[in-house]
Amino acid sequence: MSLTNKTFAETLQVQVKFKLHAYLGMIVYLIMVQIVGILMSLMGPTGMSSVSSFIDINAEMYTPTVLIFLSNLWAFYVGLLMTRHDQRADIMPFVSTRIMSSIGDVVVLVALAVYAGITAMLSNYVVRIVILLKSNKHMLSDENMFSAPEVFIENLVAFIFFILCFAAVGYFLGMIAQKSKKVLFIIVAVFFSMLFTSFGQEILLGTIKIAQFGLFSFMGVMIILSASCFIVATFLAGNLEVKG
Amino acid sequence: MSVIQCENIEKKFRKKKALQNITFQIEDEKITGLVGRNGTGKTTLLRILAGFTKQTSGTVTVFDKTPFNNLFVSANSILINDQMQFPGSFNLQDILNYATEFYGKWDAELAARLLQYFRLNPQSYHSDLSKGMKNTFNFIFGLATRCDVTLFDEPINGMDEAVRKDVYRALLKDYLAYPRTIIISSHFLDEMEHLLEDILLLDEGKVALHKSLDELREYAVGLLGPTEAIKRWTAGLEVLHEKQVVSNQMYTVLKAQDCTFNEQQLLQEGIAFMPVSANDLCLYLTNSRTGDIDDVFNE
Amino acid sequence: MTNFGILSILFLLLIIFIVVLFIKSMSKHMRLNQRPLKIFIAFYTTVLIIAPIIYLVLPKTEVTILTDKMQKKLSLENQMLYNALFENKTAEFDEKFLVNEWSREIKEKEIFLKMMNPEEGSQVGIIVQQSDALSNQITGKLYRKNYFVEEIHLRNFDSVNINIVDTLNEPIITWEDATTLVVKNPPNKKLSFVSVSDATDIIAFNNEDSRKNESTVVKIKEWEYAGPYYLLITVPKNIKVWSDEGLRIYK
Repeated sequence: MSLTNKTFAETLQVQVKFKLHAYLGMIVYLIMVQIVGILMSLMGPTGMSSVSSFIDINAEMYTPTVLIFLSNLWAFYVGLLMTRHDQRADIMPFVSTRIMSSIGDVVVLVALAVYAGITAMLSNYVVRIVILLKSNKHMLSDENMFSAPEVFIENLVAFIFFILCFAAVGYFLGMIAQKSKKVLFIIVAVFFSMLFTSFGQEILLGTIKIAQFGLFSFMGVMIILSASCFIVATFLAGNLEVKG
Repeated sequence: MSVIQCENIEKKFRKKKALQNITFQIEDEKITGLVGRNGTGKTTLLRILAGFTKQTSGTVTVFDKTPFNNLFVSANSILINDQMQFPGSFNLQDILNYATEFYGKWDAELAARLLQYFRLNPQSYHSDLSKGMKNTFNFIFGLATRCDVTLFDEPINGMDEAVRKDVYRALLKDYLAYPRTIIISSHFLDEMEHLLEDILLLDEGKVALHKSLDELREYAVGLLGPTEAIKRWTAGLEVLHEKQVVSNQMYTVLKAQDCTFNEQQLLQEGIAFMPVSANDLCLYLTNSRTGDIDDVFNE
Repeated sequence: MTNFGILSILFLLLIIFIVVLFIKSMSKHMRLNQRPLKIFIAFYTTVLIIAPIIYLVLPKTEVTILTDKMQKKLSLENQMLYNALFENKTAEFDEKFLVNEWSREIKEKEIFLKMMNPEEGSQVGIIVQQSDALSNQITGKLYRKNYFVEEIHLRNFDSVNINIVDTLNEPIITWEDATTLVVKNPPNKKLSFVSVSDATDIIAFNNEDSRKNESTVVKIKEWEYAGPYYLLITVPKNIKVWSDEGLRIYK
């Protein structure tokens, strides 16, 4: 009897590759969502206004807001989907443990968040090209990755963590739902009732304030939030039995 | 050396006990048939061995390790059942390609040849296959992993007879070439008797019997003869099965160890000895009711 | 968040809902195979990577945003033009501020100036200058001063000022009859400005709460003397100038 003994890292690597392939369809969904985002950005730019005596001035602002918003929803959906029983069962014929599968999920979600963040930022440039071609409007301010790389990078990094955080929350809630629908209900109910207490609001506002202090504190908040979601979810997954 | 060891396993689903007091050991490089009626916990037991489910109490070791959440056990064991799932976007070839990366001993050539033999298109999708085709593919997958512990849960469900025969043959050939520990649960015991070395019989969540097939064949004896004579002879003995054949003829199965009577005498009274097939014996052993469905209709 | 914001989010959710339904129904009929999937993703990603480069090379009409210094300079120029108008020294500003010039022979001994829409506030400041010459020649000079939009507030941006002098429409100056000069305010001009940014207000890294609440506003600063135009009319002293709106006549 000769037994195979592969290390955790080796197997995890294969598993991440496997899962990335399995979730390629998710990327197609992301692309569709982003195309919708591009169209929506074009339809309704943020910040329109007009004043004056004999000149009507109309200033439109194009930002990646809608794209980020949609990417977040997508990430939440993917996080949720990954915890579904049939998705987790996909790895079972192969070499895995629950915890490894969960870590693999986290790695894949991080990779997807990075991809989603980068593509969302780049999609904004497609929006820009269309508005440039559409009409000869005067460029009031053109903040782009060449003229202001620091803004681009700062926001890119922030978005990636922001998207990841949504994925983590989705993953966490999904895992709770797998464990017990009641617990999920309680958590959601507690969260929303917290919002109506002054204490809960203070915590929320305080967190938002810390997050808006700067890139690093924002990243810190996102990392703590995502990490706690992932750790709890992985812990839950470790004990979760797989049907099928 | 025993590869699988179970001691006092109990598994509860809510309040219902699916398994209780399960204690057995399975030796290396043996093919064991896991037999039992519907709902006796065969699937649950296999899932515990594969590490898919955790037992409520008791200890299970596979390669001296607890299978639940164990990477080593996962890498060296596989459970094949008809609920196996693969990502929807993977075609059969994709699945096989990944298996190569996951399983150290994966035999890609064998898998490819079997796929071709069973006329499974590598470009087709697992979820599009018919039940029998799906199980054929799962079987190929299980065989090609060459895992040291290979667990088949009802692998031949939905396959037609010709395919079943080929599958048995393939299993036997590959086992002889690469001996390993195989457990097969199946309802088709008589079809695969020639494959099996040991039988593990479960009844209502307990181990009813764990013996080699040879022992099993000699475990019981069937008596066929006039009802009155048989009743007389078997009085006070444990009857495994009895059946009224015609109005005054009766068939009874006894444990061989109890049959200490004089063969000659029995023959004179018109009672014939009959061997009991393993399949029938397993049925009798797990039948809580004496008699059969006919008795329901004969009041 | 304003009501409009909530509406737009509801609208967003509706669209997402439709898209999800669409995707679901589509994935039932279509199975995305790995290879076309990869090609599609690779194609999309490539398009996105090229997008910024295309954006960079596309010609853009960029508006110069005025710095304080530039603004002061422009303001000073306006002041100098204004002074020059009353001192008959406009010649040195012709190159920069003169929009057009005309002259006309008048046979009558008087002319009337008429503003078409005085209630809106005149955008043209009329200055009548009497020359010593004895002739029938009336000359008109239309000047346009620096006129800028001030305080365009965009979210996440400081307010910006821009010089919009080149994009304004001209006032319409016509002779109604032989003696009546009609000055009409310039037609309304629509100006669209676009501002693009990689930053969003979902994640706003600033601590000044006051600025965050400000919505996008564009204000136009009306400069010292109302309107961006001056019409300098030079008439010989033998011709009388009348106007219902009142006139200041300089010698």
